[in-house]
Amino acid sequence: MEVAIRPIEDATVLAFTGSLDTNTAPQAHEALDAVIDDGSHKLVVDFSSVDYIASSGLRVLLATAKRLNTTGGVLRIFGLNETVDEVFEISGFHTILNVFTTEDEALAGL
Amino acid sequence: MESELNIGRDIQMSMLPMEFPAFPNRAEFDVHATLHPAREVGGDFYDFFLIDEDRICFGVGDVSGKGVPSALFMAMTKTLIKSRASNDGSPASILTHVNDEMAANNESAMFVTIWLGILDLVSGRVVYCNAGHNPPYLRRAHGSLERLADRHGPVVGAMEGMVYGESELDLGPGDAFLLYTDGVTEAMDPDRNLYEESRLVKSLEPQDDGTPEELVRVTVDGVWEFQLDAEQADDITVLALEWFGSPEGDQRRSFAMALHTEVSEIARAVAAFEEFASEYELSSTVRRTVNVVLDELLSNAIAYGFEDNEGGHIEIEVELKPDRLAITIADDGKPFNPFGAQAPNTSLSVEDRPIGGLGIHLVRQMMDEVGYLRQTDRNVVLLAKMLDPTAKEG
Repeated sequence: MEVAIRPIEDATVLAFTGSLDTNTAPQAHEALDAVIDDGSHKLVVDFSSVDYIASSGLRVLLATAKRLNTTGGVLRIFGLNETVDEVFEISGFHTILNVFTTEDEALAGL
Repeated sequence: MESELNIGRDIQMSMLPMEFPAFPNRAEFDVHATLHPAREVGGDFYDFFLIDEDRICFGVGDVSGKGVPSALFMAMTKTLIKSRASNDGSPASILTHVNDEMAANNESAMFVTIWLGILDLVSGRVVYCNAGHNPPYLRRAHGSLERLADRHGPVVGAMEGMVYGESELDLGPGDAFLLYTDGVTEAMDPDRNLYEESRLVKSLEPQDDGTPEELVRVTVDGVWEFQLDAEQADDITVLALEWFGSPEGDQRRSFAMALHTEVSEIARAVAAFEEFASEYELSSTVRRTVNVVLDELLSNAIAYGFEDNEGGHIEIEVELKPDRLAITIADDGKPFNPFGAQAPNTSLSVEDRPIGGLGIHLVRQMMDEVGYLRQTDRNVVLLAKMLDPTAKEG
């Protein structure tokens, strides 16, 4: 699973490629934590190359959102495919994470 | 005394399917059976019934002892088998459960020998369990006679806690089973010679393309010709079942694989499924859904089913049926039904949300059918995803 990180003004965009599941979730978690450790509190995760996400991936997003909450930070997500969207729907993650359709929408107002 | 004999016989005979041809609208197989009770009924039985459209369960049994008690024991055993078989596709598991039931409260120390098989009418695969019964014969289409000698456990009903095994074999079109009870091989002539298997084999050998009815008839005729006017000492039961093959059979679209209980094996399973999905042009929605489900269930089984992940085994099978994708995941870990817990509360906010149970919730919601079965020493999870016939990957 690849992670591409790019800063945009004072936010950081992380683009994951592949799947977010039992095997790759730890790697995703490390990447997200590292960005926060480096001082960024506005994280945007690009899902446009994510094939599917399993509960271990959801847990990483949840942990990251909780961590950012404590410092008034923000986690935004965009580019979900149909199946990732369905998983968010079933798990109720749409109501607790900020989900957008495009990168522009996700970055607006940050 | 006379009326008790009649009662015993009535109980026994009333339980047996006796209409032949039994399944006139099924071209893939034919079955025939007969039971000739001894004067004092010996508690033999035979049975055959469709479990679903594609599978038939069939078998014979012989209860120890005679008379009404044996007939009643036979009736109960037969009923338990049929009931359990309606949603347990493993003869080993069926007999393991039936054995526990019959052995509990069995003060009379009765028992029953059973041979039980389940034939998949599409693929020709048979799974069978021999619980102390005399070995049946398999007449192959080209005429050879095989004796199925393997045994999978003790007689049923004697002692609780027995775990039965089972074996598998593949039938070819035209192969036929011949099941019988020892009333055949232990029939005696007026000089008290036993019929024995050698004579049974002799009577069957010329029947290299006999129908089930013919196989049953030559078996029984052989005994009558031998027995002459000696009294029939025990019930004589014979069942023959022939499989003719199935047009869909050659087109079975499936794969199966065995995994070790290591997290890294999940990626291997997903990769194998992706190849299968690509070969049969499954839609990306179905492919991704199954990947999620495999990840959830496999990581669950690996994380929770085994103490220190010590050498456990997981088997998965994926089959593409005309209207659905059917997945089976079996592991030999601790008894655990992943669908036994409550759904998580998905309306809670980030702070209040506990982490856990979510994976199973996803599986339940994303698959159209989910089921769980404990089969002998394995957890078996069954899943189905209905397929939209118009949605194929381009």
